[in-house]
Amino acid sequence: MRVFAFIAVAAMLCLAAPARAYDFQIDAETIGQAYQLRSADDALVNRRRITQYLGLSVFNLGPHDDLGRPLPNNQFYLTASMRFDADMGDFPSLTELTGRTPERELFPEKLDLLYAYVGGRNIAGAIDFELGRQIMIDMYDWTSFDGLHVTARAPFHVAAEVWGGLNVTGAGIFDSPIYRVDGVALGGNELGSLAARQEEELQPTFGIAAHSYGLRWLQARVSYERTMSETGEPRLPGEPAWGVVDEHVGITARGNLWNGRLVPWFALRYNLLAGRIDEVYAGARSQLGRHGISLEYVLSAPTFDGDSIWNVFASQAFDDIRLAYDVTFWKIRAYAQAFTRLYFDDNGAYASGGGSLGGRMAVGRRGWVRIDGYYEDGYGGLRAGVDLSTRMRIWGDELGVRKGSVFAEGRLSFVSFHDDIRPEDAANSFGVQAGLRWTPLDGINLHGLIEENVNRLYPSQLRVLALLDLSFWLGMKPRGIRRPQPWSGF
Amino acid sequence: MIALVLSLGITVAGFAAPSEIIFPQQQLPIAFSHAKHLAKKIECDFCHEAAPKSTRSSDNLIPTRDVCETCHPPNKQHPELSIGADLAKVVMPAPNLKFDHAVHVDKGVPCTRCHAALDRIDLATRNQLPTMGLCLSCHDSRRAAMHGPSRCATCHLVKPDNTLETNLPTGTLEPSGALRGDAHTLEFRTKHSSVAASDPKYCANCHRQQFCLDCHNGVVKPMDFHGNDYLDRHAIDARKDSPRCEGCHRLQSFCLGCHERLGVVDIRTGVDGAFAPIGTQRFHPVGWSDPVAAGDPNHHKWQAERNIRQCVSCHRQETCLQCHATNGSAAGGAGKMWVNPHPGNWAGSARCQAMADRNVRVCMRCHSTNDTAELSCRSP
Repeated sequence: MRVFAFIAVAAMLCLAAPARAYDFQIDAETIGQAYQLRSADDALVNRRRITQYLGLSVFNLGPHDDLGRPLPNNQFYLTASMRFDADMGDFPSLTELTGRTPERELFPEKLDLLYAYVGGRNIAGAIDFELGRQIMIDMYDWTSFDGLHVTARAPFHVAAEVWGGLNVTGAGIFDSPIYRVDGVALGGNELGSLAARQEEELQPTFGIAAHSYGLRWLQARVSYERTMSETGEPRLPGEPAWGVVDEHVGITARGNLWNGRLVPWFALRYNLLAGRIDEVYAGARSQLGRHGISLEYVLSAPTFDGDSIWNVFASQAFDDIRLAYDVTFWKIRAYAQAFTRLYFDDNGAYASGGGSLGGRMAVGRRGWVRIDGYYEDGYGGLRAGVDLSTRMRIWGDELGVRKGSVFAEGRLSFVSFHDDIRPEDAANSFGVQAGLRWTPLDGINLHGLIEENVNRLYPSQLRVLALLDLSFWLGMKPRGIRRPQPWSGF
Repeated sequence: MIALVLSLGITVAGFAAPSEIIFPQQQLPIAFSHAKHLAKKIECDFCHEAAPKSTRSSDNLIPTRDVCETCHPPNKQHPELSIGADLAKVVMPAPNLKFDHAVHVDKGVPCTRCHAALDRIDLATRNQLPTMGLCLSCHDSRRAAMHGPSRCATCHLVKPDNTLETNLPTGTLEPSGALRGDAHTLEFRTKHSSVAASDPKYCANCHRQQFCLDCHNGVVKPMDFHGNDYLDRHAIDARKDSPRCEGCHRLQSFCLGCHERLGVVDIRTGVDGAFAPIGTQRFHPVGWSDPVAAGDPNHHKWQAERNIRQCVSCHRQETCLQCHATNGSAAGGAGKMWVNPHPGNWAGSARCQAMADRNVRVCMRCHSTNDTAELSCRSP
């Protein structure tokens, strides 16, 4: 299957039109981190990571108009992202793994092909496709597979999807286990044992879906997906040759009433393998001018890989009610939100709840200051705290994407936490962060960050991060347009 | 209450204003009355003569001085006092939007459809430019009579990868929420899942997948989810499963891998391994795994029922199989406590049958083929 996919990708590239006005994007991001983790013996151990992302994309392999602009139909593209993660540091408790299946999360170096596929957009005005390794978000879950995904838009605002291939489980050479369904952990079991036998079995997967498109008042989707695996060795007497790893149907719907003043949504997933509804989301958001309010109900029942006994153990779901309000006025954006969650066991219900409140004020066009407070208590324990953060432009353009821009970031925080079954872990923690982001040239960003935490358990817990981000467009687009990284949280 | 009502009224009215990101601020140092000109039955294209054939939003459609002088003779002695002399001072930056006047005129869309109330105002400002809501009243498949394409890229500027250009000189373009309830408010990142999960391709109008991956299985913690000193307190969040850990991390790789490296859990799978501390301290409280759970709300049985995901982030199935397996099973019977982990009324239930029909392998981790009663819920 994989060989077929690579041949197909190569053939697609060979058949593409001659080189002209294509758009290449090259992203390279290098992240160095040094931080400290708490071991089982309460010692702080140093961890040092260097992570390298490399992204390569070619867009608009298709017809262009006389000015060289890509036409909307019959466009092909190729996009890929790889990640090399070198995880070094002191791990005094690491146990000898000889004789066990390899656990990629324990490797000091890992090379993951996160995605790599060739895609087509508006082929014949109606078909989109992706061929290769791709990540799929389906009903609140992420999966990755090597295969083909086709979407065909029919008239009357209905589109059909079909996809199939091999799940990326982490067992292959450049596979990442980060999208493998939980339940059967890679590694840690003796090779050839019953415990290890399903870890590396191939998992063929396929799915179909129908969804609406082009309707402002409704977006809806119905999907079905099934993933299977062959029974590994040693095979027990009476066992079937194949078993289901995952099988579910999902329904999502999102409306738009009164020109967006009320947006209701609903989603439900029925897990055919576990014989239960395992996800329900139902809510609505109302936007009245600068005021927004939303209310949501969530039900979540744990389900796992079909070879996991935890599907049997997981008897209870938990329920959430979430309420949120936001407002924009003057130079301020503010929010308040609250939630309560109910957990159940055979004896009754246990509640957890809390809320948060915060606001961000623009300081001219230079930046902003933000304050967030939160409090949660109940099942699991208590955590309460306040964060004061800021981001300010020192030099350069307001978005921080042009040559010469410099931004400074900072955060002060206090958090009090109390674990309800490990009271010895309770502490009040003070933290400080300081960072600087510099764009020496268009498309090149340097980012440095230092975090220090102090609490009863440790007089010092240091984290240092340095990031070099290169992003270039080669083609029609001026170079270097890139927004700040989403993880910075500033 | 009155203040609140007034505030609501003012802000609802404010919602109708065109975006300053799309339509940059203008400088209009002129005196002009659209109302008076329209009252004289002067057609729009008499002054805005280039508008009907304009194909780009960057076209300058402001009337020239010559047009004004058609009706307002110039003051030859004092040209600076002539009608239209101040037009040169007008600064009307091009909108960050695609727009083809010609296409709309050809479709018979009247000027007043987008530029409303001009017959009641003097100087036209940004307020007479259309809002996205107005555009969508036709660029929406419900309105067949004046139907227009409903793709974002029909109007918005796009990058070569076909995502919208959101970094504009006037600021960062963000959704208002009028389409999907997805206003990018301060807390949107913590509750974006309901929008993203129902239609990922909608998000892909602005975000490429790498943007998502920076947090979802990224290697750097996002500070608004995991603030300072997060590692010391993440066990509380894991027990609550709030924020939901599996949204970004696979429990059996990301969490388990780190816990095993740090010795927080014992990776030994032998009979003696279950719950045994590998270091000098134990993680679980005393009595956690006693065979009798009754009366102790912190016993692992109840904890697992409330949120078994917290267990999965540290343990493999083999930990559970130390005790929860029947004698003679493939998992081995020696040393087992044969503690039944099934919920009440499991045998013959729909859940039992669904699992046994689709993957009986999981049943046989604890049961043997000799357990005919336990495996009887399979469909014939």
